[in-house]
Amino acid sequence: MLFLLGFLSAWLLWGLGWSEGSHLFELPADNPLRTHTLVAAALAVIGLAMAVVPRMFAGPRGALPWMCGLTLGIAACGLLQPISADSASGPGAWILLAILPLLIFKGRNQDPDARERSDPLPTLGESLPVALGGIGLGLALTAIATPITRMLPPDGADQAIMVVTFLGLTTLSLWLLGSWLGKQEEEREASRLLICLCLGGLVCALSLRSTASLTRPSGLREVVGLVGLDVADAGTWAFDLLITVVALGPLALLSGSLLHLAHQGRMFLALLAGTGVGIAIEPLISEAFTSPDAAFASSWPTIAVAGGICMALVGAIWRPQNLTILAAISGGLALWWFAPGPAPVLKAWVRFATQPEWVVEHSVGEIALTPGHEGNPRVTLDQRALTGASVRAGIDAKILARSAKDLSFAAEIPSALLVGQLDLPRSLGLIDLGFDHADRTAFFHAAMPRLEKELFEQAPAGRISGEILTPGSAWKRMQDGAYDLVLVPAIPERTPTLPLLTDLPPRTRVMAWLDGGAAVARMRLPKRILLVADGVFDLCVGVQLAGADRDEDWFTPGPAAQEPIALQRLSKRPAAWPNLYRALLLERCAAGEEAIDDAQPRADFLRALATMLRAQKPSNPFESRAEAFEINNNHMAELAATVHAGASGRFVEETVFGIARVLVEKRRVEAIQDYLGPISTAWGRPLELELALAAADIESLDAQSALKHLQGFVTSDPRLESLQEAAEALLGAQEGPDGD
Amino acid sequence: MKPAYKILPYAALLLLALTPLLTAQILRLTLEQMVERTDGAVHGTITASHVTHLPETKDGVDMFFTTLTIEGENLISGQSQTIAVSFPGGFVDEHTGVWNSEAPSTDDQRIGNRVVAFWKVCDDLGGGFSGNALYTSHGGLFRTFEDKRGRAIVLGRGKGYAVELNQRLPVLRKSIKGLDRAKQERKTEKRKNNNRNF
Repeated sequence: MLFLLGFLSAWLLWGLGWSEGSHLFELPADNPLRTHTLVAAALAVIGLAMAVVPRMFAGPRGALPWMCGLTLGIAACGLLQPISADSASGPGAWILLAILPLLIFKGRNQDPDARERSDPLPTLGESLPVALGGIGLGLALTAIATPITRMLPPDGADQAIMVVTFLGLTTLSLWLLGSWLGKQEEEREASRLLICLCLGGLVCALSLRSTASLTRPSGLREVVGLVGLDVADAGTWAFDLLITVVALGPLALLSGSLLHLAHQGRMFLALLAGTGVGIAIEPLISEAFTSPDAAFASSWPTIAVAGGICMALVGAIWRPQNLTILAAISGGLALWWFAPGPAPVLKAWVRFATQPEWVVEHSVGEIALTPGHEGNPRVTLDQRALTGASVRAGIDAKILARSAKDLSFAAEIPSALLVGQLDLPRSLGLIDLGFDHADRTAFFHAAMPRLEKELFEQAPAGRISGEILTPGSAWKRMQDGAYDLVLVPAIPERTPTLPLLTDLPPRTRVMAWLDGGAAVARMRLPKRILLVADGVFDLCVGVQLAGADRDEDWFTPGPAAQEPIALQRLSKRPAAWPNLYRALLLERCAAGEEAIDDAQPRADFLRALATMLRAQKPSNPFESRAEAFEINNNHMAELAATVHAGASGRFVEETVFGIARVLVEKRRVEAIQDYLGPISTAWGRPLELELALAAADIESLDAQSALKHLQGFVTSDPRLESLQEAAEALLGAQEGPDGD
Repeated sequence: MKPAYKILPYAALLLLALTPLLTAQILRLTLEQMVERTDGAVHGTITASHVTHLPETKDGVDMFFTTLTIEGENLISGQSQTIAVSFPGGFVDEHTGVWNSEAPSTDDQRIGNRVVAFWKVCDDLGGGFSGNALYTSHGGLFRTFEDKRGRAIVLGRGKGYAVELNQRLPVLRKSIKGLDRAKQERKTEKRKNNNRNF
């Protein structure tokens, strides 16, 4: 029964921990206060359930079956499901509530003789320090897990491995220590529990020391090299398991000891409730510890130290004996000695990671400002891009334009609401589209003034007028019909649940964008979506959550894809997955298109593109994006055939134009001439394809043919001018006195 | 037929516009210097690729070398030739190997490509590995293609490379032969002078 209870608890906890994006303003970033609070509440409920039936924990290893059930339950929920599965906490919670009376009845009838004996339940005075110590444990656990989580890919698979590893070590500790501690007399258990808590300071210091070494590239390389791994293996199960053991292993051993010693119902509730409170308040404390003007303000070491000190002092204050005082002093000294300084956490597998200029902790995570190309800095939240500067600039501009396509401005001042970070390209893009006013909001709105000050320092005139609003104010303005467009740009690697929006004025168009390189194919999607491509490198899915119907190049997604389960994802390096996810998404859309009359060629195009994406392999990091992209003649032949069969539309054109640019950079002259030439003729000579054909002709030393391809275009595209110059110079040389 | 040296400056504009800026730092050589320093040049098709792993070499680290088999024609003698040329870097499987910033790109070393390669016999490319070194790694390998009229064109790599600008293969072949002839004559002259002095 305890095992079953543990399993159901896991189901409940996993679902709550994974529920994100149910609010529009959570799409760029979770509200961790909500997630952490839900998890804390669940822990309290579970503890309460345990407290109702104290006899269920009779014996030295009373909690062991429950921990085994919890560990296996998290493993099942987190590793044996597809990554973007919808929250499963609903069914788990109901089942738990349904069987609770049965458990209580069974527990009370377990040992009839025990009803005669008095139950030595711990007093409130004994439970309170345990609860306070639990707060310290919760703070330390959450804080130390933070940099580890940021080093890894942000999807649930890696978090699942971390949690399963931690729980597994805790269970192991419970089992091993239980047999030793169980030999002691019962009345000394409360005392030993407090000593154990005091040792928490030392244990926390040990965890801090090992975690700090992992956050440095050289330290990480050293640790993973001990077992034959490489930093490029970050995001695989072996890597995730190893760094969790190194960082959280000591705390797991401590947790196992505490769970054993607190096995009586009220103590268990106190420990779980305290730990839950610590988890819930950690985001608030991280923001409070951070100075908004600091250049580097990473609060996780400070919070972990605070958690360790809390644990160390609790026992010393409640039971001031030699052992507890000694343990507390040692813990305090160790924490002071080992506490690392603030430093940005860089992604482990990024070979040439750029050091951020500015990093600050916020309740939603770590916000960093990193130098980018062409003077456009990039803003990230827990290493995920919040702005579209650098390589994502192309797709960011496209989704902005598609969001506002055919939008009629109803208000006197065309206004937009950006749910995300405003930067210079986005600001100029909004101005070009006709907007005079753009408010900004998100759950990290408190950091936006500082971010915008940095982002617009070089070009203050480029910032569109507007206010930074709290989510509450922004929601009210939305409901009052203040905006023509509400836009949520895509955030890489996130798969939030899409909210249902009601009670909005019909004139307000709400567009949310999702990264096609994330596990979107498994998500619940509406009946029609937009696909926007930046050539072959980036793919975004656009969902219109509100607003009037409009004529667009919509796609119909088919049934949710059977994407790999989390454990399969963990067996490959993360760099391999974005293209596979894009392929799954395209195949899902192809299945949906096939159900529509006359859409077969477009479905075939999507499948051909998916085949090309599945063929991508890891490439030399010294190659450019175009050089690294694999296109062979078979892929080109298949794609070209679908175009000649009638595949058309904005997405098809964007993709083919992107392929043309890649082939030019790869200098694949024959492929350009054989495959793109006929497509250009069929499509009436679009500029992108004619530029590619001209470039191929210049490579072939055929100046006259190149000039023919460049005739008739009037554009500011600098490529046209440079190709014209090269072709004319080549022609001049060929027509000279020594020419052919 | 316009001499290649007349066309070269104008096609340079093309390469400035089209060729990606390479970040690797390899030896800058003219064609004359390349012919002077190498033992041969071949134009042919890459028919095979193989990666050799040398674990714990005398240099203290694992080393990996990629060997390309090229079947075609020796550009100096005109004879048919099959030759294996090697360069540092490569992977034996998905996880075992090294990337090398100077290695030819994946596009360049694909099986089936037609290429011009300059090579030099080398006793020790590193870790005791001997063979025909692809001279200056990616700087010694140039892809060729056939234009619409079926003529073979060599893709130049830009300033600092032995084949700077695109040119037709017969033009390059003629240049290489001429340069090699001059090289052999210099060697013969030097031997004669040495014998005379002796």
